[in-house]
Amino acid sequence: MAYAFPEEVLEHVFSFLSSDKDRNSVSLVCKSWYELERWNRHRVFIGNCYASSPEILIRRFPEVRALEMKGKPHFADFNLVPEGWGAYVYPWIVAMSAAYPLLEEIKLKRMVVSDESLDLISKSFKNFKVLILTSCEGFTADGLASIAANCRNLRVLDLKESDMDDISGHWLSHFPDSYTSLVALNISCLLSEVIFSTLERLVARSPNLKILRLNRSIPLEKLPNLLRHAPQLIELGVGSYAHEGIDAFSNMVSAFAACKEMRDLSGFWDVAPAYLPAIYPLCSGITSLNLSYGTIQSPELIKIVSQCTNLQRLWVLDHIEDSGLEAVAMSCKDLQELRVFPSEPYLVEPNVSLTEQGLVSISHGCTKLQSVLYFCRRMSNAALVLIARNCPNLIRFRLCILEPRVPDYLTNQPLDSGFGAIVEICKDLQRLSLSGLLTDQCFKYIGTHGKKLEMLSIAFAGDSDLGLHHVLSGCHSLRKLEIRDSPFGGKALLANAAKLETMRSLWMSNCPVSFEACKLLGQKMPRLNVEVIDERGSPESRPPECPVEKLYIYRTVAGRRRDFPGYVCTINDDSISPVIFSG
Amino acid sequence: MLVMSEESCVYADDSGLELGLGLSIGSSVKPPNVKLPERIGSWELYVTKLAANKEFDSEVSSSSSSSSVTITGTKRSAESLCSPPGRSQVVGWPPIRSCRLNSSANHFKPCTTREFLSKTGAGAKISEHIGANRNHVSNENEPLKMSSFLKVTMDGIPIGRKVDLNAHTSYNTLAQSLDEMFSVRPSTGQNEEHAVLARQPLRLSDALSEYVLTYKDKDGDWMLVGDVPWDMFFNSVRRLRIMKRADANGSSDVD
Repeated sequence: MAYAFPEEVLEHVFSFLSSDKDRNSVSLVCKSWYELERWNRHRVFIGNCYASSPEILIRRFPEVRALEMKGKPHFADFNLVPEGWGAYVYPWIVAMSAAYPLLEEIKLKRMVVSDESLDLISKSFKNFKVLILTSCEGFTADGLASIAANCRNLRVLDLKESDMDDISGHWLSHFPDSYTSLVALNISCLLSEVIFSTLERLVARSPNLKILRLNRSIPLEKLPNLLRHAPQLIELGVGSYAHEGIDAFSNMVSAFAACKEMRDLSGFWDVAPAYLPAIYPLCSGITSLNLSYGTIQSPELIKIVSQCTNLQRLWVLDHIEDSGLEAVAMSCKDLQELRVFPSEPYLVEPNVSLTEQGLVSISHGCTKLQSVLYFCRRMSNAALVLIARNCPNLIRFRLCILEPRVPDYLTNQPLDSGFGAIVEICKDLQRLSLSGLLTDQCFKYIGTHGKKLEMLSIAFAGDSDLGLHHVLSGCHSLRKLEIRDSPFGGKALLANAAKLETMRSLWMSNCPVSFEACKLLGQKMPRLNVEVIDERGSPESRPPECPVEKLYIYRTVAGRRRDFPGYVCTINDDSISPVIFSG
Repeated sequence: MLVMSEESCVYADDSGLELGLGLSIGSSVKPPNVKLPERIGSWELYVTKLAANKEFDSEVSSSSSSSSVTITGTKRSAESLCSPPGRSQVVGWPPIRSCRLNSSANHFKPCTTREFLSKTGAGAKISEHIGANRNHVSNENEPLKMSSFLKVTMDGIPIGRKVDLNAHTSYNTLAQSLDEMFSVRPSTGQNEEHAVLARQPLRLSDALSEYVLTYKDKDGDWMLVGDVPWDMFFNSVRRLRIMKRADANGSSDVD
């Protein structure tokens, strides 16, 4: 039955669809809807750059204005992916420079971005507005200078957590004097000095500047100068927060007092506690606070958080201790996200009094809690059960007990039942990271109850292939699975091969998966790229039963990639011809 | 207090090779009694040369009275060289991003030096390098190790690597690690011209080596590795570069 619905009407209806999931569903209805939708999709998200290719993207979506893309596997953040693995953005930029002259936004995560790429971006897209590079590398000050010099309409330049080792700050002076449209600037990861006067002039001529994250080199006494030019700031990342001098304090106080819109504070390297009271007047308006870079002791932290009654997000070091978290639980009733990082991750004996009690207190007091990342040294099943019961709406729960395979400190049992309670009670749980002593039983719980689980991180856990099988066969929403140092082999993979095609990716390192199993999997599943990463040399030079070092499996419509380094061995069905990158 | 249990990291296979997988990347830590693949033959050669090198001996002994920490290569046999230098550290664990570790590493590096010096007994001339760190809370009995990954490049090889400096307590183990990183890959043959192992790239070991190891210090200058005591090097090194000796001698930056 054909609907005589004018295309314009359908187009108008589709324009209200923002979710990619909805748009994908719409595309499956019929050919004409597919056609209509693809001409009207302006924002594209590619979760794994190797799952597709520039040609496929451009062929399907001719009118893209914003691209968001991710490259390396998550464990690259922890140095588990050797250098030169891949995730180069350049071929994409080349293709898009021809196909999308109206491109406005590029957001990349864990990709290699060369100066050539940045230069090409700056010269190809006249209306370019947003560049966000999260955890990227490969560029220098020259590339950034191109962006600054050529992107007249740039609104956002965000280099969060990108590798900016050798980059000097001179590129800031390449923003022309006529450039006034800056809205957000994040240079917090820039390690070297910045010419302050250049930065000050830039801030002074940016009336729309709302987000400014400075790097560590910006000293405290210069901060008021910047803030005086930008009292409209909503998010501020201060630099070094230490200074010797009396007038610096009163300057800070008056500068901060002028910032009536301030909602988000971060930075605070090298903190001099005497200057912290300068931020007190801002506290009641703050919704996001990141104090995880500098060392601030618990009493000072308590004074701050007790005033942050509207706090929704808090990132701190474990200096906050259990007592500090108790204060948070009492004062910050709207808290949604908590991250507690370790100040001394390699010490076995605790240097601060932060235990599972801190998290339990939070769970009692902050019932709106959704997202947790907690590093600690001990945990118990009882505590985990309490946390689950208190916060049934948890969406992300990442627990890192610093020492691998540590049991429940009260009972000496594995933490299976504790995590079991988390997955059973928190029915909307989407992301889970495990740690401590765990057996296959834990994975049975996860497979049984983790129906909405999308991402699971496993380290030093489980007993056998059965554990992995529970997860692969039970977690119906699973998209990303990353495993390290766990006794899972190829059997569970081969038994659940079809499942792997429903997921974005699987990472396994230091697990007993044999090269033979990898080959079998690659041959069985032509639409999966099975990549073996082995720096000992080609796996062909060892017996096939020998385990591989690392394994990365992902689904793709682009076939085997060509840009892999010598230590990667890709296994695929030979009859599939790979798509060649153009450019 | 297990960091890595044997059954998860060592897989014996039928060929008789025991491979320690978990700790191999970026660190010099190996399980004891490991029989490494063929190319390790030249390892033993390298170690013997190291043992014979008087120059290396005298350089190191001037900075520490107890030689057990730094002169692991010369005093011990090749086999015991393979045992971990103190508390072993697993790559990528705990899962903390290096930019987060490095930002606090700048806080703590001086204390690492202090710890090291109290172990070795030396201290006087190095003490001025230790900055005051008033915020730091340390446990005197535990060795402080903050992960600090350094970029290493080698002339002629486009892909750089990263080495965890905290996994090493001497030039010897660092040299070992770098040799392995940049050694021949039998399958690709890419690095055949750069078979570093056979040539012992470090100045420390062999003055005839084709390669030298240089580093960029915190002032931005390129220096030859091995000139200063380990702890000074540890504090000031920012990057490493394996250069051809010919280039190094010709360059005015080095030496």
